[in-house]
Amino acid sequence: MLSLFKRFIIMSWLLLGLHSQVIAVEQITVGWIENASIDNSDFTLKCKIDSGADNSSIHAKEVTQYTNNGKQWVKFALENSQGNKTIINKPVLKTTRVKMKNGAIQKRLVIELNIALGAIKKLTKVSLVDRSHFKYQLLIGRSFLKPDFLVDSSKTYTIKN
Amino acid sequence: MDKNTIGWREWVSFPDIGIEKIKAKVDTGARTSALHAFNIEEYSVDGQQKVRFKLHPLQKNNDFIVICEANVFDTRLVTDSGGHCEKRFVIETPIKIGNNTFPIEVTLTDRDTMKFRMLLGRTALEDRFIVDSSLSYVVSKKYSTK
Repeated sequence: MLSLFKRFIIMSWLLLGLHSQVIAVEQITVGWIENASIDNSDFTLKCKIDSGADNSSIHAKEVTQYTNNGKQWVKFALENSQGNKTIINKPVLKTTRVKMKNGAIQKRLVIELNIALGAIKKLTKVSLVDRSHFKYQLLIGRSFLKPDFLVDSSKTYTIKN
Repeated sequence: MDKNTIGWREWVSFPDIGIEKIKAKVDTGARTSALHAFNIEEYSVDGQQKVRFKLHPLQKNNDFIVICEANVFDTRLVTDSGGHCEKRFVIETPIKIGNNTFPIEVTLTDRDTMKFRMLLGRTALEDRFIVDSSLSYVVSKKYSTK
């Protein structure tokens, strides 16, 4: 006969096993172009969902770096295709050097930003770049997508806000 | 059609042009698929425009070369993510991804800054695959690149 202690161990093991099944990641399928909400606000940006990019990047305008309490901060503006504008202030997380496809090295400021895609909102690393010659001001890379999103490249605007 | 889930990296093959295996980056940010080729030469057989090119299908092995020949399907001006415009040959050939074999259009580029020798773009993925960025080699075995 099993001791009470052994029963307790088996029961907890079963319960834990059940629990981990319940909290298993539920994945959301999105298209390759979507509208994302930025920085806990109603401000949305059209974004390209790019499984080929490691990280996310955003087209920042009027970028100004400043020091606040000894820390590096950055102030920048975002403007969407509807002509709405928002100003964002964030601490600078780091500066990265990115090798461009033409071989040139570009310095980029990286910040953390809340991005919501449908029902999922995440704090994610975003680099500030000049995307003025691109169609989409926000590029969402794999570090944001995993493990919650699947990308269906035959679809666009699947998220209804 | 039921869509299969694939990872952001997969090993694929092009049986008709002799590429047994090449690692592809599955790129929902790119419309067309691209192969990193070099010594791309255009020629003609009985009025059929053809292209001969070489490639290193294994990322870390530049000694291994595959020489391919294919019909030119199209010639296109392609703008890369840096905004540069380039004239590229397009070939149409079957690709094998997992147990699926189907024809795709592939542009040939000799851009040597490409880390992956193969990019699989949206037109090839459409209606067939859904991409899970947290996974790699879902429908293919992981090979050694050496």
